[in-house]
Parts: sequence; structure tokens; C-alpha cells
Amino acid sequence: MVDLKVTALSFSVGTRQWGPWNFSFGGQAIVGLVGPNGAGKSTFFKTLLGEINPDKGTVELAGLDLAALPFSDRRGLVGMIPQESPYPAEWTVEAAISLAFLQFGSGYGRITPAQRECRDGALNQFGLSALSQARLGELSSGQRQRVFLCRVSLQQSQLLLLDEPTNHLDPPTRQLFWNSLIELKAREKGPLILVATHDLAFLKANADHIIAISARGQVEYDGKSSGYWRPEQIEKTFGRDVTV
Amino acid sequence: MRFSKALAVLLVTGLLFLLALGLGAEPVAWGDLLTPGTLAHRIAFEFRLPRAVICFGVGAALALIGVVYQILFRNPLAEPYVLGTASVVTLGAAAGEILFMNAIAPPLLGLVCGLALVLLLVWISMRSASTERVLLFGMGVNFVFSALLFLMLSLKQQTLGGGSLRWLFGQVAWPTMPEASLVLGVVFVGALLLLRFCPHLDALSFGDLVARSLGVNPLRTRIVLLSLSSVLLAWLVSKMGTIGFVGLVVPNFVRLFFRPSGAKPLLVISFLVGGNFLVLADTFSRTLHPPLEFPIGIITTILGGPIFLYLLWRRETRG
Repeated sequence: MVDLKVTALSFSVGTRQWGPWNFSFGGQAIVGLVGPNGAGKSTFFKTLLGEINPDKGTVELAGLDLAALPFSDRRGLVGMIPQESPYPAEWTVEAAISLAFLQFGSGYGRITPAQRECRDGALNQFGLSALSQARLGELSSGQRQRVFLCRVSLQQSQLLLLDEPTNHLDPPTRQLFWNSLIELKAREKGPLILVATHDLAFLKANADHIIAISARGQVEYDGKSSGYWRPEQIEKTFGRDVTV
Repeated sequence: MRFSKALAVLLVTGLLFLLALGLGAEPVAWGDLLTPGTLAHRIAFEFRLPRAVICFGVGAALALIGVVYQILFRNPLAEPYVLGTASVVTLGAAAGEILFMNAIAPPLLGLVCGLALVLLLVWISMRSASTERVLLFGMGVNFVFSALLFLMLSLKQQTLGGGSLRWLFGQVAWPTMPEASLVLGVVFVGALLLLRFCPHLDALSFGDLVARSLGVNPLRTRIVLLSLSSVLLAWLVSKMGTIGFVGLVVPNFVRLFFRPSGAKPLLVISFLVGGNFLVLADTFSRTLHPPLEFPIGIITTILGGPIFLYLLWRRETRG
């Protein structure tokens, strides 16, 4: 069972500072990271991937100190769908998904028959089979997000980070994306999923654990999802009344 | 479809080389081209072939450098010419030639200047989420250093012809076959080295965070590949001066027309198309108004500019 343990973590960008944060969670779970804009959610993800070095404190994934790990050892540990990431519009869906095999050090451009089978299965699972030869630039944003989720599922990471994955999606497309995520979690050896989102309704219905960060960058709540949804608790996080 | 396009590229390469051999200031009989001992054969194979070979090598290299810049700076408009590295390298190389008058100083001084700027650009791009900042900074650098180059050339009181034009717009001399082969060979080795980095380039095409999650180190990849590009660029600029637009137009054209799914096909096709583009440009520069030869950079800009505008327009209308 995988667990993420954040101990006395503080980090900063320019004059902006966050922390110290202390929390831990684990298992095959969906963990919601909620908080107003600027609470440090995206920056926290960057810290987990080593793009930003923490000022103090540690993050341990399955007992490994993430900051101390060399690059090659981080492969397969953390999968990521960033909030806004560039993508090469001319690539086929199939090629974008095959990128996942890069971390297994397979010969470039040569994927094994087993990997191909795995990829085609994943395409099917995420409802992308018909689109396998479509170009990323031709897809709707909802389809593209599902392509990225499909890729990240093939990376078989222990921890999956999603930063506002449904930001630009309309309600039905959003629902489709969340359904795929729930299926991913339910798999045998499914990952630990940490998702930063403002879609509180989804989290209320599906999250196992909630970490709430206030606008001042402090952890306001860390515990079971069921215990979070009282109006005064949400008001503490967002600074105003929100109905979910 | 892939094979037919590959075949088309090879056919076009052959055709352009044939044109490069047959056309020029001295008219030759096409029938004599392949007959050893004739004047046409000598002109074609002793003069025009080495020149076509060196042009192919330089064009291929500039296209590859363009691909690397566009992926690593996350901007389809990035290119040594646009980001100012070309003008900084040119200033260094021209200063090297004027101050030291030997063969080693120009590429070396060009390389030092180019590396300094490229590392500065990497630093800026890693610190800023916006990809436009690097572009604007590079354009500013380009203006300043182009002006400094003009100033230096004016102070040397060189007339605007010969030496000066070479630095400003690029000029191809008549190389011998060994010289031309050396250039093509070095570029080929550089391309092979670059191919080893395709997985890194692929991962970085999806942004730094995704690359990190796949075990690719963005900073190290940028420093290694941009340094390698700078070495190649400094060497080429000290030989031929500044040739703009190739690195910008060719990769974008290849992306739109061939739609390669990955850095490897993008690099391979750009290599071929870039080489062909410069062979064509050089044939134009020799045949437009013989026996006058225009600087090749003027031709690439006149040919490349409209293609670039067309690509921009297509991009816009396709959304």
C-alpha cells in the first residue's frame, strides 16, 4: 500500500510562502486537495515533482524521500496531468499514449507486443479506440484530457497528480472524465490519486480524504471526506459561504 | 502514405540536386552533364556539386537547430535568428575575424558569445511560465546585437559588399569537395547525436512537469542540447554568416505537411527538407541575375517569409 507523508513542508516562489504543511494519507484512494486560488496547490505539485525545492521539511512517498531521489529513480513513482500543459498538436492519440512506455526504458519507438496490447486495452477502456489515429489538435479538450489520463494510467505510477483536470470541460464531459478516474482507482493495484479541483460536488460524492488549504497557505482540514462538508468548515477554507 | 511521402522527399532531393548542377552563371548542356571530360561535367561536379553538398549540410543543420529550439523553448516561433543567438554568434565571429585574423578565433569567440546567451535564455525560460518572455527578450537582444554588428562593420569602414554582406546575410563560397563533405559529415554526426535525445524531446513536448514524471531532467536536457546546437551554429556562422528563417520555416512546414508523431520523424524529415530548402535557395541566388550572386540569407528570407506567413495564417484559420 502506498502512502504519502508530508512533514513540516514549507516552500516558496519569490515572496510567496506556503506551509508548514503536515499531513499523510495512503491506500487506493481519491484524495481531494481543495482551497482558493493561490493556496499553493499547483506549487505543491511542482514540489512533489522536484521542479521547486522545498525550503524545509520532507515529502515521503512509500518511505522514499522524494527530494533526495535521483531523476532516474523517480520514474514510475509520480504521474502527472498538469493544469495547462503544452502538447504537440500533430501527434496521433496512439503516439501520445505510447509516451507512457518511455519511462520503462524501452528502445525508442519500439514498443513490445505486450505493451501494444496493453496500450490498445487502455484505449478501449477510456473510449478512445476510434480516435487512436486522430491528431491531438483535432480533439475536443475533454477528449484530450482523457488521452492524458489514459497515458498516465499506463505509466503505472504509485501516485497520480491531477491539477484542475476538468477546468475547461462542460458538465457532461466533466462527468465522463470523473467516471474514468473512478474506474482507474477501482482497478486492481490502482494508484493513490491526489486531485486538486474546484469541483466540490465530485469530491463530496467520491473522495476518500480531503486536504483543505486556506488562502494563507495553511492546512485547514486533513481527514476523512465525510467529515469535511459542514458549511462552516468550507467557509474556513474559502473565506466565504459555499453551498455544495 | 508515409512511404509515398518519404519517396516524394527523396525524388525532390534528387531533382533539386540536378537543378543545382545544371543551372548557374555558365550555361551547360544537360546532355553533357554525365559525360566525363566535358566542360559541363567539370563545372557540375567540381564546382556546383560541392556547393550543393555544403548547402544541404548547412540547411539540414539549421532546420535541426530550429526543431530543438522550438521544443526546448516551448514556442513554435523560436529559432536562433529570432531569439538573437544567431546575431550574438555572428558578432562574436565577426569580431574574432577582425581582431585576430585567424581561422580559430571566429568560431571560438562566436561559440562563447552564443553559449552565454543560450544559457541566459534557458534561465529566463525556466523561471517564467510564459513562453513569450523568452521570445521578446531574444528579439530585443537581436536588435541590439545586430546594431552592434553594423557599428563594428562600419567602424572597420568595410563597404557594404563582400565581407560585410557575408556576416549580415550569409554567403556561400565555392568549397572543394573535401570541405563540403566535412561540413555534411559533421552535421550528420550531430544529427545522430541528436536522435539519441528523441525520448527527452518527446517528453518535453508535453511540458516540464510531464517530462519530470517520465524521468526526464528538463534543465539538463536543455543545457546539453542547446550547447550542442550552439557549437554547431557557431561553426556554421563563422563559415557562412547568418542565414535566417530556415530553422523557423522548415520545422513548422514539416509539422503541418507531414504531421510527424514524435521528435524522431520530425528531426529526420526536417533534416531532409532543410537541406533541400537551402540547395534550392542557393540555386536561386546563383541564377536570378547571373553572374551576380545574391547572399543566400536574402533568398531564404524572401522564400521563407511568405511560407511562414502562410503557415501562420493556416494555423489561425484551423484553430
